[in-house]
Amino acid sequence: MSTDFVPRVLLTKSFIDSHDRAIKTIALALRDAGFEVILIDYEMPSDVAHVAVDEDVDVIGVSFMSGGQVSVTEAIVGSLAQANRGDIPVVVGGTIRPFDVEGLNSAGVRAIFRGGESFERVIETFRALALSTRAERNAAA
Amino acid sequence: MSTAVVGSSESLAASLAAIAAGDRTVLAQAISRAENSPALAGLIDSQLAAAGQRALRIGLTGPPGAGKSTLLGAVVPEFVRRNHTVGVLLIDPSSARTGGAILADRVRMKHRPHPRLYVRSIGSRLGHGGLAEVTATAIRLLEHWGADVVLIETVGAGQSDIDVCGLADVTMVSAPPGLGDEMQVMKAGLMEVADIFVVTKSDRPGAQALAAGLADAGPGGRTGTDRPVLLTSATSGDGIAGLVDLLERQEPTPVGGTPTETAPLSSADQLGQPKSAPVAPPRPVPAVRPSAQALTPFDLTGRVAIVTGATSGLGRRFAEVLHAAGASVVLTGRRADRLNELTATLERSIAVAGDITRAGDRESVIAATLKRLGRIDVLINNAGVSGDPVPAEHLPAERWTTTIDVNLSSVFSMAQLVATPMLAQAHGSIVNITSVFGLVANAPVMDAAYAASKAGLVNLTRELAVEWAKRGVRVNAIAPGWFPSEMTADMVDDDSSQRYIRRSCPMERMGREDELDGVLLFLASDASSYCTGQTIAVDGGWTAR
Repeated sequence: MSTDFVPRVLLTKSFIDSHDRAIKTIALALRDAGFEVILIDYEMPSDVAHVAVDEDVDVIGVSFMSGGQVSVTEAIVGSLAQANRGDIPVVVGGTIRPFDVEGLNSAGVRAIFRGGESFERVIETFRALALSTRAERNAAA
Repeated sequence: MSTAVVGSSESLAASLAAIAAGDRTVLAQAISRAENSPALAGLIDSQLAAAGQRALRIGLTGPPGAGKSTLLGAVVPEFVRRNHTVGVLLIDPSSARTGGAILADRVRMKHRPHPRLYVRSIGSRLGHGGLAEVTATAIRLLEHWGADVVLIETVGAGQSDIDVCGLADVTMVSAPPGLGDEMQVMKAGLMEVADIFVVTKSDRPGAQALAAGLADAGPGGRTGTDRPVLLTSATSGDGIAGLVDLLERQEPTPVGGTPTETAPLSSADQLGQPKSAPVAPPRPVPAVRPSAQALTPFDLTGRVAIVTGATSGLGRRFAEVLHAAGASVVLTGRRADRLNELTATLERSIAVAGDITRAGDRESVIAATLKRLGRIDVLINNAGVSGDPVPAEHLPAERWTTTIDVNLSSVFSMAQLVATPMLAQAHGSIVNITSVFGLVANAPVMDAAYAASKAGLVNLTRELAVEWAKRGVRVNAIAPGWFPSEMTADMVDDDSSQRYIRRSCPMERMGREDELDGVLLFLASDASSYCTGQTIAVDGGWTAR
């Protein structure tokens, strides 16, 4: 049994969105960087919070292609707060339009990947957020 | 935020108390901590050992691509539907090089969240034999949380990844068509640890042949019994109820028990032929137990049903029929005296007077039902209005608005309100009372508002049904033709009305009140468990022309 910190991340997209290339690419990059990556296709934004609680994840990454970038993210963040897990950071990626950015920042997302970022930057962002989450949780214990 | 688990014995005790009280956040964090700290895992094991085994532990293994997660996606909701509290551990392989893992079983194990269901994905890390080292501790934590059924899906197994049989009371090996020839079935290892073989993807070619081969695989070192072979299709649901029936009959054995200690499986469970018999295609899995009575699915004992517009006519009859089938009924309507009169005749009933078009009254009905009866299983959306015939060009605007409000908008609002508890319990049936005049024109009895409202209800039924189909809530409709009621009282003794009915209705008569009983009971009960989004016309053939 490993005693090293193994970051757990939840990557998700809508079940109705078949565009999964981006999320699979990020999942493999994170796996190869030593992350445990839980994948789900959510039906409702509240599903994401429910799974995040049960899976005790350190970071949530939400991928968008077609729409709902701000409203769905707001709903996910709201559901996390309702579940008393507002401490889990949410990052978004995929097709993020310029006019989405302000709304996403207002919703409280911790990072936005609009395409073109290096794997290294993505991985380090996830790692830093995961370490921060876990440290806060340990401090609260 | 919930209390997190730490290594000290004091805080561990507090955390275990929180888990026993149902705190799934603390449960989740406890599993994480146990994964990362062998010392803490050992402490948890020692703390919980005294409680002994509390759940039936079911292992599921099989080669990669055998459909294990998809099978669980069908089996787990069935266990939940049968009022079990279920814990699921989904184990996927970790990279030996980086320690990373893709935990993707949830993608195929599609399910809705439920208060009595906890699912956890686990990387195998340095575990072996198809499991993670934390598996046993996680099982104990799930049992401490309240699970009475724990399912453990192993990594996609090679032929010797068989450790799950040491933790489980019963081990299922899933195998899809195309597994291999008879020699593969005869080998020891994975095929030998199976207590139950599950042929997944049974709608595909080769399933019957594989089942016959597995049935001929022998007892695998057991004495006195061959092993059941069940054919399942998670896509169609075929075989799932039979598999859960079989699993429910298994009994927990002490941890470390061998498969031979599993409760004997009756010959009725054997889907393949005995080893000594000639090879023949297995019998299909029965959808219900052979001993089940044909009328059992119509039984509403323990169910709670709300009937709107229950003060007279069809609504009153509906309430009486549901009550006679065993349900507790909640009667709603505007006339309190009539409701009280009816409740006096029905042992398990309450009355909540109110106007269904008022939001506050609707909410009172739901609140009173949940407070006094604790649940809602059935909603009969019966309340409705109609008026004297008016040509469409002269129909007053307020008549239009009122009719749509009562017959359509209020129905939708009631469905919305009951959906919350029904979806939470993943079970419920909504029956909307529409009309044949939601299917065909009303004229010559002209009422455009009535026809539009009832037609809207037909497609509202479809929409709600599809939206909630996977979440256990069914929505159907009944479209009565002409029946005696307050609305039709003037027609019963009127010669011209009767001539119109004889001319238009193939059966040449109005319906009798009791001729809606059967379809109502069918749609309200589990007898129609695979039926949703449908409108059933009960009209003497009116709409068949």
